[in-house]
Amino acid sequence: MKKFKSWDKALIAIILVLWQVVGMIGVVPSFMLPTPIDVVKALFVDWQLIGKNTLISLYEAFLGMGFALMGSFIAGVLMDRFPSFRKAVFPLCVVSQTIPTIAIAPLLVLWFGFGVTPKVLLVFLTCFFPLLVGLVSGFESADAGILLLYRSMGAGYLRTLWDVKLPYAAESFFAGLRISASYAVVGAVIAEWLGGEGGLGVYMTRVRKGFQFDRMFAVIIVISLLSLVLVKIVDMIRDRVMRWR
Amino acid sequence: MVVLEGKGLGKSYEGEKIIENVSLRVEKGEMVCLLGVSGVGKSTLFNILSGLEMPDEGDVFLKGECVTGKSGKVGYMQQSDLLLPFKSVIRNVMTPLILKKTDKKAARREAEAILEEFDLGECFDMLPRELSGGMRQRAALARTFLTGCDVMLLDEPFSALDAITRGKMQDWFRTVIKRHGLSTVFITHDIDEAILLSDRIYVLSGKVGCITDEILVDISERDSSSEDFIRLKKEIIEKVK
Repeated sequence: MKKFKSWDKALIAIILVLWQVVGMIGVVPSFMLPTPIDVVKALFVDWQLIGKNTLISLYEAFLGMGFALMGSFIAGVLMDRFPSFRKAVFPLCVVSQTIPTIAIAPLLVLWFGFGVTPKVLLVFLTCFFPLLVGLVSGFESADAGILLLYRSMGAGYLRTLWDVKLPYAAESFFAGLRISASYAVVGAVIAEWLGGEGGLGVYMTRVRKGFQFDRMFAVIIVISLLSLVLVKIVDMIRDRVMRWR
Repeated sequence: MVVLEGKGLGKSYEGEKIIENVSLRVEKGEMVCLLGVSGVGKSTLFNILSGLEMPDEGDVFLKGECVTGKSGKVGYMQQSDLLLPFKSVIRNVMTPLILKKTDKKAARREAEAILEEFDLGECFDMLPRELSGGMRQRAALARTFLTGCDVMLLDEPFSALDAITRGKMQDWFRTVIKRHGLSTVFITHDIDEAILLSDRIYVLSGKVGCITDEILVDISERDSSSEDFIRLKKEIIEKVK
């Protein structure tokens, strides 16, 4: 019998086994809750379609995250450089986070149609705030003594930003990026639910209407795996960038 | 020749006077000490001398040129070493040269030379956290040296060190400063350290910090057990009271 190295893996295995047993003995009808084996089968049977839609969702997620990265960097630096700008804008950013993205999504579709734009925008809105908070709080964590030292050596803002503030902000920035990475694919899928030409959300809506829940579960697994892979990539980049850790 | 001079310096924060009518001068190659109890305004005075803060009254002159409120004109080392934890020792030490747009290779050569001189030849690529307290302080001092300024301001440079390392650093520090003929002003509230290191002591005291005494350290032996040393120490204690 295979030994599990950690409890979390053992727990996942137990849940999968229980799920399979419950499905096999017919406690829940298979069209409502397909067994893990059915889900894996669906993944293999429909892999071409799932793969094609995955690429579309990933494209939207990356585009949205890319814009969020650029936007949060520009806004973060402006907030750090001009405290009055921060005072004016930051509360607005906080308030924007109280609005659920699921509520904004239909509006975005209404305003921008069924193309890529509303999806990218929703990913942007989801990812922007964690990145901005990470950067701004990271800039604030820079050692005041070192900032004074840089001033005493006649360093300008950009040099201080590059040498001191950005490295100090790296830890919290990457924490924000991890959160954003895990939200990005989900954000794209939520936007796709409301309509579009492709993507995992569109595929999910289609299979849901056809009561093909095995395929729906297959997509859920793909979304989870994509988010996990993105988070892992962020961790790898962080370890490479922050070698001093 | 007077290198650095502060004339009639005064500063208030939120209506409360911190220092008033402070005048001091530093001759070329001289080590001057600012001695005073905590909270008397020594660091405020340093911030003014280094150009980080504007005085409310008075001016600062460097070789006769008014440099009031202009930073980057004098080297400034604060209490802690303030080495960037994510940069190697050599990259930390190179910083002032890079800020002056010196070519990277030339900056590295210069930093290597100074680190060798400061017995840190083995530590070029180490991170600051891998160094001992004394080594970190020497690296910080090397960085201040490379600012290339005629005057260095050192704010309690050895206060973070243990007694044994501190003693070693003080001897080494005076030798290095004298070898390079640098003009330095350093802050301390340790009378022994003031006598051991300086050529002249300014006593800063009072509720509103002002210079109450100027003492020439003219002793043959810088040994804390010598008669001259003890006599001078008693004299200073009386003046600081």
